[in-house]
Amino acid sequence: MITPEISWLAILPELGLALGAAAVLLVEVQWKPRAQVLGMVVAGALTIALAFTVVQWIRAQDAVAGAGQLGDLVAFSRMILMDGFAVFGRFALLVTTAIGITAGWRLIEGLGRRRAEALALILLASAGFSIMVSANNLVMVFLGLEVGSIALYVLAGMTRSSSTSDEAALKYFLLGSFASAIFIYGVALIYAGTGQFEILAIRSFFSAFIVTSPGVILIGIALMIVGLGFKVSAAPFHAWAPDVYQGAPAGFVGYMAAVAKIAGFAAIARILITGLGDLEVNWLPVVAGISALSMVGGSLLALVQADIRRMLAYSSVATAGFVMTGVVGGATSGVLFYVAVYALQLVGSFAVVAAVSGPANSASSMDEYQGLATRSPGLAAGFTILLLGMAGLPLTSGFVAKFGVFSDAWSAGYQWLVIVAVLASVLAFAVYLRVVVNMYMSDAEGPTLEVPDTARWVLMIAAAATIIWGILPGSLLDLASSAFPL
Amino acid sequence: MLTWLILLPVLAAIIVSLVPSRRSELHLSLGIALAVLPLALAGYVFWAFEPVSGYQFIEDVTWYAPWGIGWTLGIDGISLPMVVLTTLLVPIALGASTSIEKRRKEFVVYTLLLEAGMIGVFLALDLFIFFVFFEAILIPMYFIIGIWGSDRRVYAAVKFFIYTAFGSALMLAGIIALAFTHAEQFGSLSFALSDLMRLDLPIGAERWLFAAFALAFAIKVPLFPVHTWLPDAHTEAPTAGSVLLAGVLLKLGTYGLLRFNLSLFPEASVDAVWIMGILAVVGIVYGAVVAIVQPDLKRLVAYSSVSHLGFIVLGTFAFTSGAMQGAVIQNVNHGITTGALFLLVGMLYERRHTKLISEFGGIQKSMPVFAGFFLFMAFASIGLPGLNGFVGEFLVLIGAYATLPVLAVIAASGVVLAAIYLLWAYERVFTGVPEKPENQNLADLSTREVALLAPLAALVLVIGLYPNVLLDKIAPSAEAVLDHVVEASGLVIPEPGRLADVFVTDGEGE
Amino acid sequence: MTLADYLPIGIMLVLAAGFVAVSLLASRFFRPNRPTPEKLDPYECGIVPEVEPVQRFPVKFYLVAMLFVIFDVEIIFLFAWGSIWTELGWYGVAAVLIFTFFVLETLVYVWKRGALDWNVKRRSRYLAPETRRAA
Repeated sequence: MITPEISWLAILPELGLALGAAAVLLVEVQWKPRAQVLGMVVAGALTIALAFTVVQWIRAQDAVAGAGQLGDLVAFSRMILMDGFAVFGRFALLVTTAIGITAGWRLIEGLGRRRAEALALILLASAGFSIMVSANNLVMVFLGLEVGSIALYVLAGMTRSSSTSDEAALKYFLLGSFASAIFIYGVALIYAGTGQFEILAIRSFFSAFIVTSPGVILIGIALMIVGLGFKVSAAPFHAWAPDVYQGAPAGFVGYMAAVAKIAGFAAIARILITGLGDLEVNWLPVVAGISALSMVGGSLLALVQADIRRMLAYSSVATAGFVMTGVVGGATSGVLFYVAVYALQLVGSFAVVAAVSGPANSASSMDEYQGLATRSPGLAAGFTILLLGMAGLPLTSGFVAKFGVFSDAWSAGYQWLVIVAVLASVLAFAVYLRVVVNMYMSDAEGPTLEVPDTARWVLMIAAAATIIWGILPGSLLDLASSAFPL
Repeated sequence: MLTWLILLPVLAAIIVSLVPSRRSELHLSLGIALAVLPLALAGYVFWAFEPVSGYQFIEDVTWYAPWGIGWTLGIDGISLPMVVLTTLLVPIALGASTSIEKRRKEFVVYTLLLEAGMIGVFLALDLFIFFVFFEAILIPMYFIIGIWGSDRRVYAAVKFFIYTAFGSALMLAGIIALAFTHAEQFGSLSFALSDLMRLDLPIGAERWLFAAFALAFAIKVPLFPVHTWLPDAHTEAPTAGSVLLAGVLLKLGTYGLLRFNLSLFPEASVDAVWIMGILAVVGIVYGAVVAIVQPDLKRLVAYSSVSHLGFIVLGTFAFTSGAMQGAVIQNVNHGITTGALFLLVGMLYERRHTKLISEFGGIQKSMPVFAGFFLFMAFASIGLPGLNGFVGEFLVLIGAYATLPVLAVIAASGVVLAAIYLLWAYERVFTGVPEKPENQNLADLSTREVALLAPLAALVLVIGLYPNVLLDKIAPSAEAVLDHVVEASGLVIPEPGRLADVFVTDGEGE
Repeated sequence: MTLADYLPIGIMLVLAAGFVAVSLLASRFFRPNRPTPEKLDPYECGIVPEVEPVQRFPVKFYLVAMLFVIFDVEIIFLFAWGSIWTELGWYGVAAVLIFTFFVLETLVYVWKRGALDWNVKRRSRYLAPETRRAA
């Protein structure tokens, strides 16, 4: 028995999150404190996790630059990686978590004595997804996926008095566990074909051997794509998204969708591009097809929604398609940049939804946004920036993100996909403009909307990030492009 | 210098947005005052511009090196008049917006942001930032039409946005393709116009790329048959929106064709002469014929734009010195005269709250000054000798006759048709006995309104009588574009298509 | 791998399905089949049932059962660690301490929340302290 090489640093952020979750629960049952106290505990845990992430980043860059050895980035019997890709994804997850909690703060406060459970679940979900982005072993990916997803299922049903919330939670749970099962079945078939669970080992396997009859491996890849495609709500595995986005409490939806997207795409990128890069002839057309279907179908369906949360759900299907073009392009930096900026926009948008139609409410008709520009100019302006960002108009980070992934796909030889993508972008413009039309171009008057301060802050941060990275994308792009997987 | 030209309107927009909303009387005047600053700067650039070919005042800063994007700005004889026109029209458009009461601050802010975007498009020499500006101007214009337009404003705004976004989407794919071709041939990504002009494109790819770019610009121009967004957008837009739409936004299309299509895809451009020429001529005749029967004055002017812009496209693709200079100067002329016509229609609308021609009649009795200005601008638009429209259309027709005689002859009918629709409209609106009681006591133009129209009228005269004030600066750059096309495609331009031909014969004559 | 390599799996599948089918069919043909009304009644301590059987029973049974399963299953990990803990060294100690902490923390939370309290009223008091204070 060989003692595994230990690098505690590799899991310290997750450990910090998990201990934070435990601390929140213990503090809650021991002292029954006010919500702010719990918030401080959570903030402490997140700060610690972020600090460790920064240390990890420095370590990862040193290793690449030659000051250390690449072997240092592999920990726990090759289960966990600490490469730039993992650290970037983890950082994005942590920031999204912090902003997501802020955005949902009014909802969390309103949960009464169950608020500690909500906070703990959020921290645990982030810890799980964080494991998922840094896992080298497919079983570890699955473990992280399940820890994260199960926490999200519960969060979706957090407002128990609402039947739509229950419905959303049950639907999410049933379909989600089904997808997880499909994913793990795919992992099993990959193991059957290659004898490996480790992504890096699978890569060496395929660069060393040519598999003459790869039937079982191909089925395995297909099943993994289906399972992860579900998690990122890519068409045609998107059917759950509208119901869950609509039914789950608005305060949490942004966070739930954003972290699932970040982790899902990180896993897709790592497994497909890093692990199965030598088989890309086989999976590229499938992923390209899913991408095209998501972009076009998501945008078209988003166009006809009367409820803004369903619209955001379908538009997130479309966005999954856009990010997939980056996967087709084979460059992980484009994917990372896209999901990072989109996560912020998504959380910010749902902060607006929560402010307009109440954090625990489930219906949020498009009509409620009529004349929002007069009822709350700041909210409308911030939301507009986020919508334009998600649409990918120039001078927003969304444009830079789209430009990046489209360029990657073009250079990979998928010109047709880029053309479909730019045309789908026009459809997406129409989708987001509908909301803007409602907010600005209707004369409907109404009482001034009271916006919680937390929502204001979230919106301000998200909008500022959208603009700043739209005009000067260099800082984040450099980070994303130095965050390559091992 | 040029960066400031873009930044000044942005700063102005920020300053205006900082003024509290309740001080609504301040926003407009402050906006106008601040909009004069870029005009002054543009005036200085115009004065300091040397009449030689090539870009001047070049600024080149790396924006994001791994992608080869640079903040590359420069100005030449083709973009110079457009920049000056833009900076001139913005304060005038703002000055014509006193009737806007609703959310005035936002209106001023959007207009100033629009100005920054338009100037950016004209100055950009890097395709990435060109595209950024080209697309970014949609947002303020969309709001201007959608918030302050008339009844069907939302429909018009969304139609405008989706049409133009659709066109530019394919152009984005084209830009990406060019950058990656550059990476293949020269080893690094680049979006700089000067780099991309050196590319050696296979003719098949060049044709596709030409089509992608041309579609984007044709929608913007708008060329027949993708012009249908224009009448709606114009009719529903507020006066300032119409002025800037006709004056500048449409020119982004013709400017783009001239700057990017001809320079980047010279061979495909030569191949496409007949397609573009026929579409242009169809636009000229179709726009004019449809304009004749419009019951709505603003729609009439909008369709006349379709017709006039056909001349510019025809001039661009005729590949002679005269036609190309004519196209550039007609860009300016159309901006001035059509802008002025939209201003006039707007002023009329403020008084009577209708634009239907049948509602008017005989109003020159009560509004003589107004009628005078209208007739003057109508004549300029028709192309009466001595006024600016004549210079541009004459140069285009003469130039086009050398290479595309049939099309030039058909296009000439557009001038006649223009006389019909404008003068007939004038007759129905202004002459006769004022039968409707509302038309009998209309107030004539105020000092403010005259002050808005006077600079435009002065320019009409100056350009009409002494076009060399512009042509001197335009000619070297237009020649350079032609040289590039001839060199790249081996096109033979028949005499006396080039300026050199004309000057040699002139010299012998003296 | 060729198709022939999958043959054992195929044979196993056929055998498994065949076993089920054969045993079901065999019992159908060989068992005596003489139904009487008493035999068809649901069996309840030999007494004829007078009311419908209870459809629902208190949710606290589920809760206790679930908690039991959770804590029970987690002990299995300790067993695995215990069998090789000398080889794992301090790393193993640290890992198992972290693990035990989370198990115990959960127990404390569950306990304090009153989930182990058989009295449902007292248990649910935790969730609504505001109303209790008001009363």
